[in-house]
Amino acid sequence: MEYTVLDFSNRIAELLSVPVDKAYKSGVLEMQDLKETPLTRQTAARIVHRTLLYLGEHDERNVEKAFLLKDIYDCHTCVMHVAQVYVKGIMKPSEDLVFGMQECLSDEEANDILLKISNKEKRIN
Amino acid sequence: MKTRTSRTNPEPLKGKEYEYSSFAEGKAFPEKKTGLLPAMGWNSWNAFGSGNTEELAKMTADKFIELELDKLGYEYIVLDDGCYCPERADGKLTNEPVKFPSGFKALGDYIHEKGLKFGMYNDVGTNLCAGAAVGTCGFEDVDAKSYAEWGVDFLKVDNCYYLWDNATFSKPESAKYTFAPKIKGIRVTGHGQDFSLRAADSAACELTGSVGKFDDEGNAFFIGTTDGTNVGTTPVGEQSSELVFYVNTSEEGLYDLFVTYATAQEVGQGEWLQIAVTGEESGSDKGLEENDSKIIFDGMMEATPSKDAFTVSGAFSIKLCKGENEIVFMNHRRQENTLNSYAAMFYALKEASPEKDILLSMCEWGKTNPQNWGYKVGASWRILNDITFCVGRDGDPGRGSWNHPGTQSICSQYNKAVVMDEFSGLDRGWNDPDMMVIGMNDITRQMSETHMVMWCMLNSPLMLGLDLRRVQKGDELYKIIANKELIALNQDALGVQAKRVFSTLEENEPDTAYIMDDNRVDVLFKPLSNGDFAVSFINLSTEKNEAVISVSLDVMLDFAGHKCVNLDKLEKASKFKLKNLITGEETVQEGRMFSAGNIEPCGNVTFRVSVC
Repeated sequence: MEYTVLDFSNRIAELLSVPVDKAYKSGVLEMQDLKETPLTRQTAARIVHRTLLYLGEHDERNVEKAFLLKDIYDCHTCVMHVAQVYVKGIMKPSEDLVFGMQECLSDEEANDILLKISNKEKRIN
Repeated sequence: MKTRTSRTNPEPLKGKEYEYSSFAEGKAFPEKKTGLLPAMGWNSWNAFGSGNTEELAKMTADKFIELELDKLGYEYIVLDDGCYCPERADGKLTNEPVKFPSGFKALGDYIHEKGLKFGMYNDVGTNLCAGAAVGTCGFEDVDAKSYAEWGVDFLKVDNCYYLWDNATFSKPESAKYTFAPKIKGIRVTGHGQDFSLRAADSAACELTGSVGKFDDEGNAFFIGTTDGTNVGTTPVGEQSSELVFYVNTSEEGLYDLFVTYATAQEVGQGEWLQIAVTGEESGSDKGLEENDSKIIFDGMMEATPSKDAFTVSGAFSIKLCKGENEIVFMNHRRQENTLNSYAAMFYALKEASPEKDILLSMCEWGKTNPQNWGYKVGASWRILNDITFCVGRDGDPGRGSWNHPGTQSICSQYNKAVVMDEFSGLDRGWNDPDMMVIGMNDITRQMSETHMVMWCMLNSPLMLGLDLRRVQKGDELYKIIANKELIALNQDALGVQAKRVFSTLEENEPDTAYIMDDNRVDVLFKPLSNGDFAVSFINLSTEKNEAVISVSLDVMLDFAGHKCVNLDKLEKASKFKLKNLITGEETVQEGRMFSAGNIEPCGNVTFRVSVC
């Protein structure tokens, strides 16, 4: 069974201790995040970044390192989401300096990301 | 009703006016209203990203009235991405119910009741950039009716998920539509003659333009059009390459043409090919002008097993005249397809709202060099990817930049727009260097002032991109965005974008040289409708420029005198009244040399000049 956006959204809501509906209404999730569609890395980056903001974690100011990613501008609506989760060490590129915007995440990768949201020590620097 | 586009291939071009060969004619489609000045308003993207809401849009409309921005010319309130449901409902666009609970008609009414105009957003692809699967591709007529019902006055149309190019989120293999196959050579037979010509033979053919290349074996590829999305590709001059073979025949008549080619689905080597024949009489049977070209093929070539496996095509029947003929291999579909897509939306809006001119703000990021063709249907065309990627959200103003190696800065956008003045005008439309970043974090007062000067001098659409709750009447930000004298330059009835007449880094061609080194001072000259002109000294450097920069009016007139309404008077004038448009100071000057010194970092000195 493929890991879906809805699976991830449910896990995020659980992590925030709110119903998934509230996570949507509070802006952490978008309406399209409540669907049984495969979870892409760019969507995960957006949800994770918004989750961090919801939790009160500030953005990293220096994200120049992220601009070295070859595909960073492939998604101009999610440049900053990708930059933040990359620089914070929560999501790593799928291959050398390629984030892999449209690649799908596995259950295992999603678990790893969720762990790093709440546990800064697990993040990769 | 269908919810997904049924389009599987680029559509045939609907007429000569859609073809590349018509781009230089400068004739807008007859249905397009011309003579409009740059749009002024507010767009939600820089301020709130996809987190914009009905509440925030209403608040912005309220602030327009409170700040009296409407009296200064700002009129459009534009909802950018993030406002629709992620899927169509019964084939139609619908409002995202949490963010926009009252629906778009009600919001449009609210905005209209304040005397303002209502703008929305969509995309020529299948999806919007933020992901919602509600792009206009194949739904232009349905969506145009929705926009008409909602009272929309302005439509920004993006380019994500575009099917016929390798745009953002498009499949990389869509490059097959935008580049011709790699060509090794041709054979032409008939009337007892047999010509075998190799691309590698420079005596037999020519590769025009700057994008085309030869590989190590002399085969021609990159036959297509440059990608202008990122910085560094000049918008000036020829943007496409064609491979032209010269065939000299002894007899007029029909010949067979065979092409040796190899296809791929990547940038530089595609599958779509256009072939044209140009000879003294080639078009005569179609009633075309002498020497006009006749397109004899416009479509996909049969794919080859690999990108290096050359094959010989079937025979194309071509008519050649006695003497020299040109057989041209090209692919202008990158531009033609994008025009076709924007035109589909343009005509759908015309049909849905025949009494109303809904402004079409084209946002294909300069990818297909819209400065060449956008004037046909668009009020304006974006020239690059975004000015900032650090967009804000409710409670966070986001960040802008003064300069950056990518597109995401004020100077990055300015550096390209400043050499694009010949592409803009009342009869065409306007170059769009993106929504402004005034009021975002990291943008100082000095930067904001100069940003406003740049956008006004360049006749750019003035779309505010800040959370207007940060502005109070009379405060620093207000004084910048409400500078009537600067807005008057942007909205001057003559409609002439300023020309760069001097740059400390370019002696010979300051008007057309695409300069990306920001350590410089530029001087811009803008003729105005009442015979005045504006001159602006812009220090792009983050260091103070202590030197005095001087430019003679004679030099300015050499570059742009033909655009002035009173050239005779300006050529003789020796005494001028100068008004500094930032400080308001007025002075009188004897002599034709205009100067400024000690220009602050990221600063400017801008005068409106009248002949005394």
